[in-house]
Amino acid sequence: MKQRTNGRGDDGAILEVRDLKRDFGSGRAVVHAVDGIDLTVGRGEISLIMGPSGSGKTTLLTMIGGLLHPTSGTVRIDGIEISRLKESQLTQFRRHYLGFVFQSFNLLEALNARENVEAALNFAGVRGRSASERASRLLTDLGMSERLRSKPKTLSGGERQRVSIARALANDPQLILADEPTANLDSHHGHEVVLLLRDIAKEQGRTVVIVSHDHRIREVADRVLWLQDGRFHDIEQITAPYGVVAPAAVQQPRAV
Amino acid sequence: MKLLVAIGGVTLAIVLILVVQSLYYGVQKEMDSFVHALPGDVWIVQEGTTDLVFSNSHLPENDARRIHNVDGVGALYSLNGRLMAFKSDNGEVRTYVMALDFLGGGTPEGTDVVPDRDEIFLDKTFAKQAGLSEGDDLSFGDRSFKVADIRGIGNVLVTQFAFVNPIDFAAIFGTPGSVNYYLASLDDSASPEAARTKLEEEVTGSSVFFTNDFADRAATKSTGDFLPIIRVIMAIAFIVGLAVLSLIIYSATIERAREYAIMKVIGASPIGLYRIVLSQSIFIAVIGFMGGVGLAFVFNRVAGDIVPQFITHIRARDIAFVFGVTVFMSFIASYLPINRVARVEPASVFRA
Repeated sequence: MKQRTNGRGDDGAILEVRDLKRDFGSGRAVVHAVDGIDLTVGRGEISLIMGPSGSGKTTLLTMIGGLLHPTSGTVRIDGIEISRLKESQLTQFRRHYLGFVFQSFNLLEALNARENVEAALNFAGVRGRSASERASRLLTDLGMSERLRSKPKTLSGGERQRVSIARALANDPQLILADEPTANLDSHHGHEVVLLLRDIAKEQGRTVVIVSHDHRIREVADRVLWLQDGRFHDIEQITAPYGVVAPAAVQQPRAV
Repeated sequence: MKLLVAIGGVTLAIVLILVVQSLYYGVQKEMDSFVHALPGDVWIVQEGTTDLVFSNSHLPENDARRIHNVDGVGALYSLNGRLMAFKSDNGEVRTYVMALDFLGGGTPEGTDVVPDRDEIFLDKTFAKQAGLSEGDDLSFGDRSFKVADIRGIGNVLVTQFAFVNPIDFAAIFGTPGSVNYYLASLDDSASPEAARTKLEEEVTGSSVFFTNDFADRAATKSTGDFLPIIRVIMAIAFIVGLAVLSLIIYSATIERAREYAIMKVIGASPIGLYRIVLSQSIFIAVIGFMGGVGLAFVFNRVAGDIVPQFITHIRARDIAFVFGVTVFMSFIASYLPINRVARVEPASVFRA
C-alpha cells in the first residue's frame, strides 16, 4: 500500500475538517446546509455519517471530496488544504487521493466493467496493458473475474457496486468517500458491500467515510456521527480513534 | 441505442444533402455526356443559340461547302433535331428527335446514333416512361418507326433524345435549305483556335464552340429554368441537413452531461473532457457520413428505377466537400456545448 504523509509527521489523521460551512441561497432565504462541522478521521478508520434527509450529509461529503466549494472553513486531506486548490489542482488531487462510491453506481454504461475501472486509471495517466492488468486484478480481487467484459446493464446491483468500488480503488487512494453505497442493493448484496468496505479499511489501511441511512453499516464503523440541520449532534465512538477498540460508546456534543 | 439514433440522424441528413446535390449535377452531366457522345471537335450554331432544347438554331444548308473549305476541317456532320409527339400503343408520347448526317471529309464517326430507314433509337428513360420496348412501333402521321435500340442516349429531365435516320428526318421534319447544327472534326495538324476563328468568319451569323465549351453551355442553359430551382432546394437541403446534423450532435453531447460529470469526478481534466466530447462527435459524424453516402447511392438507384427521369450523379468532389462540412459542423456543434460540459457540476453525480 502506498503511504503518504503530510510532511508534518504522521499523527494518524488523514482527514481534518475545521469549522466547515456551506450555505445555499442568500438573504432571508439562506439555508445553512452544513453549519460549522469539525471532524478528524484517522488512517484505516471507517466513519459513518447518518442523519435524516436534508441534514447535509451529501453536502458534507461533496465538500470533503473537493466537488463543492465550502462557504467557509477548511478541509485538509493528508495535510493538503483542498479548499484552497484551483480546479485543475483539485482534478489532480481527486485522481490520486480520493475514491468515490455512489448510491447509483455511476458507471459509464457504454463501457464494460474492466473499461470502467481502466477509465479512472487512464485519467491518471496509466494506460495500455498496465491499466488493463490493474483493472482486471482489482475486479478479480472483488470477485468479478467472470464479469470483466460485462456491460453495467447486464450486472446485478451488487456487481455494479463492486465495479464502482474497484474504480474507486484504481489509483490507490487513501480516502474512500461512499454515498449511500448500500441504498440500491438488497440485504444480501448490501451486506457484501459493507464487508468489502470494512476490508478496504482494515486490511488495506484506507480511510473510509460513508454517508448512509443503512444501520447495517454500524457493525463495521469505528464511529457513527449523527448529522442534523448541518451539525453533528451525536457521535458514537465504537472504537478509539485510529483503530483501538474503545471500552464503550461515548457521546460528544459537536466535534471530534 | 442513443449512439445509433445519433448516427442514424446524421446519416439521414447526409442523404438529404447528397441526393438533392446529385440531382442537380445529374441533369448537368447527362447533357454534357450527350454532347460529348456526338462526333466532331467544334459545334457551329446560329448566333444567339443557347442550347439544344430551349432555342432553335438554323444555318443555311449551303454553308457546308464553305465549312469544308476551311483549313484544318476534316469530317463534317449536320445535326437536326425537333421536339415531336408520336403515337404509340400507349398513347401520345413526346421526345426530342434528332438525326446525324455525315456530309463528307475524313472518316465518319458517330454511326451508332444513325439507325436504318424507318427505325428509331430511343433513350432508355423515355422508353421506360412511355412503356416502349424494342420492336414496338411509333407513328407520326402516315410514317411508322420501329424501335430498333433502347439505351442511354440522353435524358435532360425536361425531355429525352431519340435518333432517326437523316433521310427519314428530312422527309418528315426537315426544313429545306436549313441545318440546325454543323459538327466538324479538326485535323490533328490544325490550330483549333485558328480554325474556330476562320469558321466564324466563313459562316455568317454563326457562333463556333469547341465541344467542351458547347457541352458546358448546353448543360447550363438547356436546364436553365430548372436548375436554379434545384439549386434552391439544394441550398435548403444543405441548411436543413446541417441544422439536423448540428442539433443531433449538440443534443447527443448535452444528453451525456451526467457521464461527463462522472468522468470529472473520477479524474478527467477539462481538456480531457474536451477531447472526449470532440472525438465522440467526430465519430458520430464520420460514421453517420459513411452511412449517408452509402444510403444516398442506394436511394438514387431505387428512385431512378421507380422514376426514370430522376437522374442523379454523385461526384467524388461533392462527397469530399460534404465530408469536410460534416466534420466542421460536428466540431462546431460539439464546441458549443463543450463549455457547458466543462461547467458540469461534478457534485451532481451524488444525486441518485
